[in-house]
Amino acid sequence: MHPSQDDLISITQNILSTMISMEASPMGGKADPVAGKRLTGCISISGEWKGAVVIQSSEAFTRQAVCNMLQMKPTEVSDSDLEDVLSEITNMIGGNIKSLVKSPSFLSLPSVTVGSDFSFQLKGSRVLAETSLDCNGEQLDVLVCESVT
Amino acid sequence: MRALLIDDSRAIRRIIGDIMKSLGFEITEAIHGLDGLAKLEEFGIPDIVLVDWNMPEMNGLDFIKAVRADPKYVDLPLMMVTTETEMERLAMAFVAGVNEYVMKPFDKAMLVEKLEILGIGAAS
Repeated sequence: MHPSQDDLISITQNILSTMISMEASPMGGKADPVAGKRLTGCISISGEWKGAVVIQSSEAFTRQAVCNMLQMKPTEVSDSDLEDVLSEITNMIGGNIKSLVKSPSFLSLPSVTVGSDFSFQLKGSRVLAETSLDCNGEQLDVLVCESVT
Repeated sequence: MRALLIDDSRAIRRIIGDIMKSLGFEITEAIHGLDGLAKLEEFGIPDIVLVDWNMPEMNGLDFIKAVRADPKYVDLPLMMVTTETEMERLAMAFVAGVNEYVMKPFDKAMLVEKLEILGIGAAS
């Protein structure tokens, strides 16, 4: 079984609503990539299925997520808070995606990249499913890549 | 009552910590399995340990195995709180000695339900 776009949407919505008290709805059509300062979370899956789950969000989305999860004011949020929360969101989405691919497979630890002028590529992989979600006007992209090497 | 929380995510430690505090627990935190073993030695045996699976240094499964290998921790209640959701992984955790299992994402009701199963906390 391979994860579908509907799987990405339902998994992400469930995690955001349960853990972060945030509602998210799919953006219509193909959304442009997140612009400006953004955070990219990546977690690899290895074993019987090989690939990765990539999460890309605006800084504003992640800041709101930190405020909701940690009950902080936006001005209190540090860069390490942003990285920690996006890392955990990536971990949760990756873990739930892993349950949909061939077993046994194993999760790596998540990594997070922060910046406004960088590109992100997973060499030797193809996009299996992707979605862009609107969370209170901020964009969250989720994609699953399968290794083809 | 005291709970040891082991998770490399500060956010998850905060969320679980807030829930456990609301149930009357004092909290000790550790950031990975090795740190968890050190906190057990430093602070003594808690009423329950809640431990993540995927962590640097020492993961949750190896922490469970290390704890169960020590006779003084044979009766210590251990609960995993993790994104590992496949039956094979659950079976590995239970074979290693975990008592209960909470899958992320979770909410307070889910955690309280598992504590009730273990007969621990305000619900007991």
